[in-house]
Amino acid sequence: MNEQDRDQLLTSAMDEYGHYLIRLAYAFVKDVSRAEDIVQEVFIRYYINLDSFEGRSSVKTYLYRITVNECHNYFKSWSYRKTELSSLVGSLLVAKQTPEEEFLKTESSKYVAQLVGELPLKYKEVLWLHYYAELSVNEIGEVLKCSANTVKTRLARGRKMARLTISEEEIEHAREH
Amino acid sequence: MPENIKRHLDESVPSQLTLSEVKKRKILNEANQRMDGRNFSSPRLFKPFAIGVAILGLSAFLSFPYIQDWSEESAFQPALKEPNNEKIKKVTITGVEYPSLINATYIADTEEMIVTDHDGIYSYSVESETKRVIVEPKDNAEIFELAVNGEWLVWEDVSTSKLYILNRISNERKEFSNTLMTYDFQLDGDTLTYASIGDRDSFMGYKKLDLSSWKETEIHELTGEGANSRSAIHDGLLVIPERIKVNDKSSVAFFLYDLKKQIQVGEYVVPYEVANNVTITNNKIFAQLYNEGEASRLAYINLEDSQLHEVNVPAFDAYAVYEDFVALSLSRNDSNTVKLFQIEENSVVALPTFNQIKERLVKPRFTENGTLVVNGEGEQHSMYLQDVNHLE
Repeated sequence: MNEQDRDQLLTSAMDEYGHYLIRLAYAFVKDVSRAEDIVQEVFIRYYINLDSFEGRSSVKTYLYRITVNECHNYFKSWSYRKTELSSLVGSLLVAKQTPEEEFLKTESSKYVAQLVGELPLKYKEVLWLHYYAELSVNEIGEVLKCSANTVKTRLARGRKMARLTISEEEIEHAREH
Repeated sequence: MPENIKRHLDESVPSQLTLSEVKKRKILNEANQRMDGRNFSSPRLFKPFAIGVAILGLSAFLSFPYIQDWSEESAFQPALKEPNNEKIKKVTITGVEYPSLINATYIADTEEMIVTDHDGIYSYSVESETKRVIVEPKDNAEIFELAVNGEWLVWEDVSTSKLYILNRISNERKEFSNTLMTYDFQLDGDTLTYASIGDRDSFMGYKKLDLSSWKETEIHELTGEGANSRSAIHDGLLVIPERIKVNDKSSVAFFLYDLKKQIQVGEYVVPYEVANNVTITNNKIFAQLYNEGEASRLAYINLEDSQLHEVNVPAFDAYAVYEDFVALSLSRNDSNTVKLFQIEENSVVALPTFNQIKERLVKPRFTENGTLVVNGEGEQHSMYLQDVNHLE
């Protein structure tokens, strides 16, 4: 593959998936600079591996898989642990909200995202991949390297933990796709 | 609702955050340079030396309790801190009899071990090291058959002649009168399969119960002379072994079903009298095959070519397989223990995974996603967990 074709494929991939990937990465790492670094690394790895990319998985699942893996790697890093420590110290200094404020918060549209954001990573990532990136159960299985059944269980548990109410038809939709 | 959830999630990310054209050009340039073999490091990755020292100091301070824990635990589990074993989890459940532990089921997704003492059913969280009751124990209960995954628990209590199905997420529980003999419960997502033997007039064979619709379907009628192995289920495929007579000689037939389409998709006969521990993984049906009085062998039917292939392994007593990883119970002195291998071109390569564990290991079994579980026969009757997907 010549450089021009390679550049074209990378540009197309960035146009199609760049916006979603950087926002997904931010949702996990909560740091704009880190999200930019992660997405840059994802696309560079895609570019370098274009020759060996045999199309066994779609470009979409491939890019999401590397993004999720890069986020996992970040969580294992000292850089993240340092940030976590700062947040912990920060949260201890912030006064608790009053019940009224808590109630108002539940009425806010941000509350759904907050509940999802507070879930353990394995539930948070399936909810984001399913509802935000609109990946099917099978695609999420490819991204996370786990079975469709595991994805379904995590979706079900994640929904319950985040108190998301989904109609039966939508559950069926998730089961079938 | 999904559109609403998507919007809510999107609103939680700063609205201006996108992959800008400037950033795309930067990535393209960086990709070109990396491709040309130049090694540019991102300025953000450079950390001043002072920060590094500060983090090291802080980490030493924060890790002190863990180092202390390690030194206390090391007297009991020295192998776990060896580099080769850093990903092995040691699980010690106190107050549970060894016969229950040996049949414990591990659910990787919820990181819990499910055990029964035949009176009740319990969950042990590997993460929090806490136990909780799932099915309240009763003095005269007789729970011997159960199947469990992250979402469902199915069990039979012989004392009440009832089959119970618990949705572990909604906590909804159903009871069914069960005067038939049922056994070999298998769960695959929302699908339960089991064998049912009733009187002369009733269906005798395997049934499928769709737990989302509660629709029951007859899958396979038993016509053979029994089996030495339970059925196996994986990713919508069910394989049922039966001993049959071919020209007056005993053989084993494997009947393969697609559970979604509810059709038989294969039947394979192998010239052995016994098939133990039938397993389906990686598009292959594995079994420990042997004729009475002969050594056993590990073999599989490749569903792509329908042929029987033998795997060249050392003499073994028991096995468990997941994709191309196989755990074998091998002779050691006058006993045996479990070793992990990787299958390569129908031979096996030994992995050092359990080399540092001195106690005898028994009863290897894999979860559906590749976590190997073995029981230790040391004083604590600990179990060891190794996710083979994380082996380097």
